[in-house]
Amino acid sequence: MNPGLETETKLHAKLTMNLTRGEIFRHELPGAGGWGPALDRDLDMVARDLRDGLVTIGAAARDYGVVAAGDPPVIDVAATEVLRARLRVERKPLPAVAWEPAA
Amino acid sequence: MSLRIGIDIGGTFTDLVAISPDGIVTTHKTASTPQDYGEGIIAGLRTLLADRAGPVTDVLHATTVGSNTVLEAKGAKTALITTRGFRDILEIRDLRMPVLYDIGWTKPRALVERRLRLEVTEKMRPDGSVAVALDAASLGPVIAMLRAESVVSVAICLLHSYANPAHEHEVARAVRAALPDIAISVSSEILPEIKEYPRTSTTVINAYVQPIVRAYITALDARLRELGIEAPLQLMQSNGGLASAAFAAESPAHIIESGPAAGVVGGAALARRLNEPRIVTFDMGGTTAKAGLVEDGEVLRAEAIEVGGGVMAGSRLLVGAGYMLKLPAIDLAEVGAGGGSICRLDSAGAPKVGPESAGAAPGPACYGFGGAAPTITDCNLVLGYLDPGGLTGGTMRLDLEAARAAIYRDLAVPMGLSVEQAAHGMLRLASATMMRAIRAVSVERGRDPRQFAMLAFGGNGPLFAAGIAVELGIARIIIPPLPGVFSAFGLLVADAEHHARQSIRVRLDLADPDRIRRIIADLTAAGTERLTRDGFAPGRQVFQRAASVRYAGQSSEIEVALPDGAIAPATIAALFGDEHERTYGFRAPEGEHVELMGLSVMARGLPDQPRLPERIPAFAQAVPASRRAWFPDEGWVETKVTDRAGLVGTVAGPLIVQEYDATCLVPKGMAARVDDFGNIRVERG
Repeated sequence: MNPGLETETKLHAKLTMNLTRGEIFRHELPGAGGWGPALDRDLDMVARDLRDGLVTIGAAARDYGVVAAGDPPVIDVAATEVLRARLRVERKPLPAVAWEPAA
Repeated sequence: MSLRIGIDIGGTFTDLVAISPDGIVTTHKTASTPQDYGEGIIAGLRTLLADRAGPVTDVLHATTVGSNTVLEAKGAKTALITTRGFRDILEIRDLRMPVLYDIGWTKPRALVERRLRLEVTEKMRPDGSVAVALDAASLGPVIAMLRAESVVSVAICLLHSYANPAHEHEVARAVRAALPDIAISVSSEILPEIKEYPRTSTTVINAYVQPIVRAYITALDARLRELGIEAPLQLMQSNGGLASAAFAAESPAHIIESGPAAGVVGGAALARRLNEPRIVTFDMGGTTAKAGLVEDGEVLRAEAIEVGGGVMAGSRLLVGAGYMLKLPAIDLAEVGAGGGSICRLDSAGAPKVGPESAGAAPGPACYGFGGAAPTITDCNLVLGYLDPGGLTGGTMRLDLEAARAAIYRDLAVPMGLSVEQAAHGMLRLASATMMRAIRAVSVERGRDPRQFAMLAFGGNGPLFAAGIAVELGIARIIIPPLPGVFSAFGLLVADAEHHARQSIRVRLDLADPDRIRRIIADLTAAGTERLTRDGFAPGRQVFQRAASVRYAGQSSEIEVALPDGAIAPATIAALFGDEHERTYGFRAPEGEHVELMGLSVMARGLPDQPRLPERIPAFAQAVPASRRAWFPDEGWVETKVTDRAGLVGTVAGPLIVQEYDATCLVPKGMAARVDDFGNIRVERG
């Protein structure tokens, strides 16, 4: 509620409220979960997200191990290979999720 | 003798019709040339003019270049300049999706990629006052991006520009000064209406197709001049009216659904001539089938259409599948079933027809142009409905054995059926698909198809009309003269038509009657100017006024026709109540506030003389006296064949009426005759 103003407050997840003229209601939603290891994400898809401004250069390196620079961002494939190899070693293996029928 | 020429491009054939003042009609059908449609047009014109010399006074054209550009995503590199905070409006859309619970559904990709959706700092209020002045500094990066990305066309859509276009004009001036070659589409000129998503989407479609349509029109115009034709080129708009080539090149959003509109316009002219109060038009060509409605001689219109969503859905109830175009258009439902539709078994072994089409190239198997897959035309051929001697009077040869072989291999053997059973099953499947289109414009619009007569045309319409009519409970079928080129013929009877709209938002009980009168006068003046430019004398101009109205608090309006003369706000409210009751079955009690959201004026230019000849003579044609045709209950039956001229009295089916441009199938249980105007009437007999 009113982000950036003195009256900024966090709201509960569920509520009923009245807004008056000039007040700001901001709802931040997470992006959707991915499918498969982020380090294996197709470079063309990362390139498109970079070009669309949906992923920053910093986030591309941090989350996908993709090295890019420039505007529009261009991916450095060789540097990406190196970074991804390093992150694969550093990152913990993905937790195995076992789906079991409810008891 | 002078000539008026109509040219209609379909996915498979390009049709040309020429008519002279004495009513003599010449037609020509030629294969479309999808690589460069102009080539087919010029080739067809050469042949046509070789038969009929004479000065050409009108060239009227219906084209699918606009819709194809969107469908095939082959538009210009386009950018959008919008108010800060609104760059994602093309993705957010109106939150509608055509399939609620399908997680595999993918939204059509925005016509402008996000990188080229650029924002400027400014904001207008809904009343036209400035909330945030246009920040000239925010224009710099926008222009730099247009230049860096070599953008070809730009749409400018700022918030509330319908109320005050000053900021949009300022941005347009700055872009034009920096990049004089860029094509510019300004929302307050294309669609000065409230609601930013429809306005933005419509302007973006205009920008996206504009360079392609302009190049097409310019090239076609130049080729016409090379042929020595001096008549101005006019194009059919989606609303069924004609517009000059210059207008269409500037505002192609108006001609996106140009292609299928002409046939319905021709249907309306014929309905007036025949005093038929209710007609459903059924137009089946080589690639798709289209259905439209004519009531009391007027076509049914839609306030908005979706480009690219219709071919598969074919339903008025599902929206969000395509790109929204908020411009008045003839209401049509289109499904992917035509003569060239490919018949196949899907991976689960279920039979499927279309929407893939073999088109003109490679074409059906029987054309012998290299098409291997069986199509609807192949099915009609093996059942004896089409003449194995060939189409278009035998000039287009058909290979019966190739058709049989394709159906045998791809359909009959896998399904364990005879070739005839398999072919007939495919035709029934295609009929079921096409019935969806007819239901979409009738049942889904609250109309009962059983109260309508069917006007069937297009190269394949007369073949399927009887079968479909029986299933829908339609008792009467009309097959017009020249059914295969009837859409091109419709161009010759169309009027020039221009629509002008103005958004306002005012409660009718508080509205100033003078302001309403002034807006209508301004819109009428705009229409007068356009019609005068088109060459219509004042006595040949007619105007139809309408208001879009809602109850205060509703989120969508309905369109209310207004009578001529001075009109009081209270009258508009009363007319709205009537219309609301007709559409939704109820009206609010007295005292509920009614909001006027917009006014529109349709300006129509009437030709000096009736455009339809009294009767179009049927071409006599050499046809065999009979041939074997296959029907599901009887098997092979020796079936009488005639041309239209040879159809005397009422003849019971089974009967095949074979013409140059189409073939009409009259099954057992129905009978055919020719009426005073030269139409074939097929009725239960």
